[in-house]
Amino acid sequence: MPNKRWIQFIFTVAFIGIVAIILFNYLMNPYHVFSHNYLKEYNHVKDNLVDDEMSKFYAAKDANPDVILVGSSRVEHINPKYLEAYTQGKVYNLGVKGSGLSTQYKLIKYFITKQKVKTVILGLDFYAFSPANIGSYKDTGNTRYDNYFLDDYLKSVLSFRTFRKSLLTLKDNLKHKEGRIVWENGWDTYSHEYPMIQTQSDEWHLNKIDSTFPNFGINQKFFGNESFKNPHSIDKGLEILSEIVALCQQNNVELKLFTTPLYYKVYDVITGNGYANTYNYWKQSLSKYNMIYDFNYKNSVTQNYKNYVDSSHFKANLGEYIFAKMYGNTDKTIEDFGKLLQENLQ
Amino acid sequence: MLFNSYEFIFAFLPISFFLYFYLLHKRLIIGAKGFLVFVSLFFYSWWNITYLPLILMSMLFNYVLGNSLTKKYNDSKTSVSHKSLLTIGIAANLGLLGYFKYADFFIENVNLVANSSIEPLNLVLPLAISFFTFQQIAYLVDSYKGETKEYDFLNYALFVTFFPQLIAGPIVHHKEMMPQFASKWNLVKKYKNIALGLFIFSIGLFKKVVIADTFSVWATNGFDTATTLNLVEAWATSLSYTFQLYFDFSGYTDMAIGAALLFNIKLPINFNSPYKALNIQDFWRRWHITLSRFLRDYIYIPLGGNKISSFRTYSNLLATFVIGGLWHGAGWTFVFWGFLHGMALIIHRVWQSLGLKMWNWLAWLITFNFVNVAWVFFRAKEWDDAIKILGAMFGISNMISIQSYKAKELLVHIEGNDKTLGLLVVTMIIVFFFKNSCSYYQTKLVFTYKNGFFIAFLYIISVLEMYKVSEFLYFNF
Repeated sequence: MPNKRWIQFIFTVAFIGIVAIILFNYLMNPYHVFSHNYLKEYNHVKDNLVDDEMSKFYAAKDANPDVILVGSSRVEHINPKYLEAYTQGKVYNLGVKGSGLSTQYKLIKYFITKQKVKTVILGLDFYAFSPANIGSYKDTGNTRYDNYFLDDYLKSVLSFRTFRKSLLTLKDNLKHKEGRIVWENGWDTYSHEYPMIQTQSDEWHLNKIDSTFPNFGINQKFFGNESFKNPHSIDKGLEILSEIVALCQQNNVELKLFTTPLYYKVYDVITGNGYANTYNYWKQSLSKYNMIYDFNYKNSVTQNYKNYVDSSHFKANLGEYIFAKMYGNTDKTIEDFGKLLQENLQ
Repeated sequence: MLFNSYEFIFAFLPISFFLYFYLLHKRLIIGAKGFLVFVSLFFYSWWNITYLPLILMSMLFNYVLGNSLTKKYNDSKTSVSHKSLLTIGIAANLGLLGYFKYADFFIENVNLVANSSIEPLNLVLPLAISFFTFQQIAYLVDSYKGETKEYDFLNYALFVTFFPQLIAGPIVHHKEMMPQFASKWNLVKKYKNIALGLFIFSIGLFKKVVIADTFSVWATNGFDTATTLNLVEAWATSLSYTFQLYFDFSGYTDMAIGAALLFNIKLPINFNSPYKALNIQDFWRRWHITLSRFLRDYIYIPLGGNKISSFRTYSNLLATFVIGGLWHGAGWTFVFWGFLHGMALIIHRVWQSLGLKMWNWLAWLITFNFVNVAWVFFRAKEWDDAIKILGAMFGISNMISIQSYKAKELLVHIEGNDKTLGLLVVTMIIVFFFKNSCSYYQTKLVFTYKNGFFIAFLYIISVLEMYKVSEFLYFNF
């Protein structure tokens, strides 16, 4: 082939190939970064995410909520409908798997200052205060929390990984798979829909949860982190919490806080692995706010494995009892499940 | 600006190419060359404009000195000031390099020996300083020997700054570059060169963006992040770096060769399947060829080469490679890496002089593993990191502690998985059995639809993967 024609040929093929893949990724929108509604029946289910924080952020931005529910995967599994009974306007579950206080701060700040959110419900995890889960949070310039973040858009149209995720998204939708996340309200249905729990025996269910103990969470993010044993290692997380409280006050945003109910054996892991001092310091520090509802202790709910889908996550319907306690709905309150953390009270 | 960036591929390169040939088409030859120097300096300044005056001054200084040396050589061959000029020139170049690259290393060692506490200078290493310094020292030495002509400044500036080779080589020699810049045959667009340039550039881009950058994650996790490693992780880490370095640097070189070809300039080859080498001497004839050439011509031979005695040959070899190690970086790990290679070359020479033979497969195995182990010192930031990797690679207790056969569990500390092992195997096959990209450069390539599709495919994958910004490893040296 003549050299000139060969050059034209490779440019043409490469151009068509690149544009076709970019266009396909844009239309499939596998990470929910773009706010378009094209090909909705082929891309509504999006279960092939690469960055939960990114996808939840853009989906929530699109939803333009009045109330946000913030926290880690435990919060993400709470069905927002339980909260809608007590609040005004649209509720969005902005829970992000594995997120620490720094990520939660950025989300709250963005939705308070750049959107119209008037109520924030923040579910607190002990791990979210661990130094391993705290990153930078003050300087949000040139990030998605600023205004326009090119990296997220490039990540969503470029790379072969995204192309693969787009194909998987198309496949899921063609097979009419039920999506794990309800993008309209941010709810991660995992704990509600987890199929094995529905079909297996009680014995299997109990074994699934209990078999992870006593080695539960022995890793750098949780109970394998030596520095986390020092109570003051969570001071940064506590400082961020105080900044969240101040931020809400300054913007006249209602803030409600609660601690997440962990399975009762986790408290033995905390004590058994040398984290009791940090844990007690955490509780004492939270109690100073006199406004945080605590579900994070051994009680009739946390001691019943049937309320959990795995050793780390409770079922979606516990949200109903959590919010009932927080909003004083005595009809749906479980007596020993939840209490207001108050200073000077043990 | 990086070769593997959108701004380079979609803006800088096409604009430079079209405007250069447009100026030539209008018969503005000096304007076109001036334009090429300008865009090269723009390319250099893209990262940090602070050091632009440094390269300009270095270039001007060496050009004036080189011309003076050439004139003096023609006027009076035995002039004393002739030698003094060369000494001043080399000292000034090495002084500049030493100040920016080795001052803190020197201070650290003085502090250690004298128990003093002199503050380090914390200077940022000017980009490409190691490369343009060596290139210009060679020019001065050859001017001293009367082997250069009185080139005009524009061609000299192009020789130093020509953007494809400016940042990380190949280390070009004025003898191979100046005639090309001066030749009128290179002033017209040649589709054959453009096609070959695009062909080689695509291979280099793919090597860097797809292969090297994939390995870099595991190498970084193993060297810098993980505190402990098991046997499999340690080998996966060292091999990941061995392949990362090769694909990163040879990828860069391919891109440099490809980009230069668009302008009808043929850069020298720098790699020729080095991991196929059957002995360490063979390795250095295939790895970073232009650096080996420089070290041979301007250090090893001036030291006496192999002309004096066996002992001097060995000590010259060792000195050359220790200097070569130090050229790569200001640290004892680099010096030790150079020392290891120097020693390996000495052992190879002794072996050869004894007339001993070895099976090819065994020779390859020993050479490759030696190179792989030596790279551990080259890559490690500290001695302890190198010991951590090597201890895990060869520790007996590590061999029996493996309890899982799942890749994800075996490679947990470097965040590896099946893909890590799969890519290592595929890469080994590519490296050991496939043709090197330079073979296409050196032989007459026939352009067909088949290789056109292949090249277009490489561009598609690479362009899609390029959104992650990653620098080339040799930018640090």
